[in-house]
Amino acid sequence: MNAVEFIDFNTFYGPKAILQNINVEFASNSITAIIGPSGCGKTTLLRSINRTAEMEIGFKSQGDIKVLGKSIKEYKNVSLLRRRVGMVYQIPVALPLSIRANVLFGPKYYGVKRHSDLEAITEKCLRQVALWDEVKDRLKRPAAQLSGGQKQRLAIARALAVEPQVLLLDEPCSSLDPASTGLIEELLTQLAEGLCIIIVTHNLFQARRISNETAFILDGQLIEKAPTQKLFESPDSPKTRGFVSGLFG
Amino acid sequence: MKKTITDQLSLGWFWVSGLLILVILLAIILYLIWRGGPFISSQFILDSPHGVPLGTEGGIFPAIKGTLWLIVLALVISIVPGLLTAMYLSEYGRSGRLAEIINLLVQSMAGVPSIIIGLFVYALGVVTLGWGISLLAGGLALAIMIFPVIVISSRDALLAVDKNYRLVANSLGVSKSYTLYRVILPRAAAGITAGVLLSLGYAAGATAPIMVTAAAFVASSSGALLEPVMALPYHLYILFNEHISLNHAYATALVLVTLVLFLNILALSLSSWQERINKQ
Repeated sequence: MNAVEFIDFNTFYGPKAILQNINVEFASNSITAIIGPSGCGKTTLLRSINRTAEMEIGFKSQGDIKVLGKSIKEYKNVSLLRRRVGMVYQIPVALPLSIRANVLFGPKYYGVKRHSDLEAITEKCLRQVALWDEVKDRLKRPAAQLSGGQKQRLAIARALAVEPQVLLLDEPCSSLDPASTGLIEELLTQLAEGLCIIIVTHNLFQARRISNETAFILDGQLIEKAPTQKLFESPDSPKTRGFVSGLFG
Repeated sequence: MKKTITDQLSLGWFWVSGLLILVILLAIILYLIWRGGPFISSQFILDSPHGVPLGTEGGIFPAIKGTLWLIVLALVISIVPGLLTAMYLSEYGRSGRLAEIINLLVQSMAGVPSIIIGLFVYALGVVTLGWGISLLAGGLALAIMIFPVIVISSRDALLAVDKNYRLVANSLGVSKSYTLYRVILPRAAAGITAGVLLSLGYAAGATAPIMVTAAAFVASSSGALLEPVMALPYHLYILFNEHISLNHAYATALVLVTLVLFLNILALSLSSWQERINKQ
């Protein structure tokens, strides 16, 4: 089943068209990478899915996006949509709370109260991002003390804690060192079971390493989406070939 | 990089200006200590005014008490509307039409001369509502005077909180108020408190708004809302203006300046603490 489906989707900032006529599907249980030069609309595409793009002044959209079969406009309560669609940003953000409170920030809002449940969520999510062993003795310490890579894994754990079915990542490794990047890539591959992961990346090697499918966007248009190996080795479009072989960036 | 002549000239000018302000401030304080210091005693702080004419002997205790009552009342009246307005401007109204209008109104309020505020409260509270010259009327006048200061400083403290926290909270689908109370407000608390303390210092020294609404030359300053109070700036003004006692005027000034300086130093240390928090 397709977790996310774009149907004739267009976006504008003021008079300027950003995304044009996007029709694309993202499958569950897989990782899709979105690649393309800076300013091509990758992030806008990602942020349209959980309706955070529309918080920018002057943003308008046409067409539709379906998340888990339901139009994003039909979610009466935008928080319900965002609960199903988690998001991780480029800069690792630790909320100014303890490590534990970071993980539980969403669940507490959604009404999880029992102490044992909260403990279970904390451990499960921190294990999912391979952070448990590193922080289990200091769960009540400020999350600000963590390193950049740890913060980013904490951010993923925080997003997972409300049990999303789609996980959006906007260049999650661009400010991290290679070791942390490797760790995150590994855990994303594990998380893909049961999740639809969509990752925007500048790093073509990363797209190649972790994604099942890759979509190439240029000037707001979807040029091509294909299984990753095919897109990198025998793309249909000469534009894709030019981009993945580094002729332009 | 090599400094140009213009750079050096401007740098020199900055230093001169900074030193000038420092010298003026120090001169005021030192002069007050020189003229008023010898008359500060436990009796002066803790006794009521005595003597003929009244104020030549005794102390200023009711004036200290009255000023404290006035700023506490002003705080009580203005803090909730001030904070709510700031929270609306920073979290909810964000560049909407209404927020623009409120911002403009608050800016204009900050520009209203304090004597006008005093006369307004005189007409409304003292005369029309029949409060008479009273602590309540003075507290209200000072509250109106410091309201814009509280709004602007709290709004800026809230806006200075890392925008990424809001981004992250939004993407989890939690409500704005949850984010505000769990993350943003605790994070801005020191900055907000600093702004409030500065505004209290401003209120403690204000003379015009209380002259026509609250102040009496002699009063017990018991804290009763509908009775007049003594206040440091007004007491000082009368001692000086009626040539009652220059010595006591200088001593009163020294007490007032110390109180305001204390509030400002507290505010400054809080806001530098806040800056360190924000950099984390």
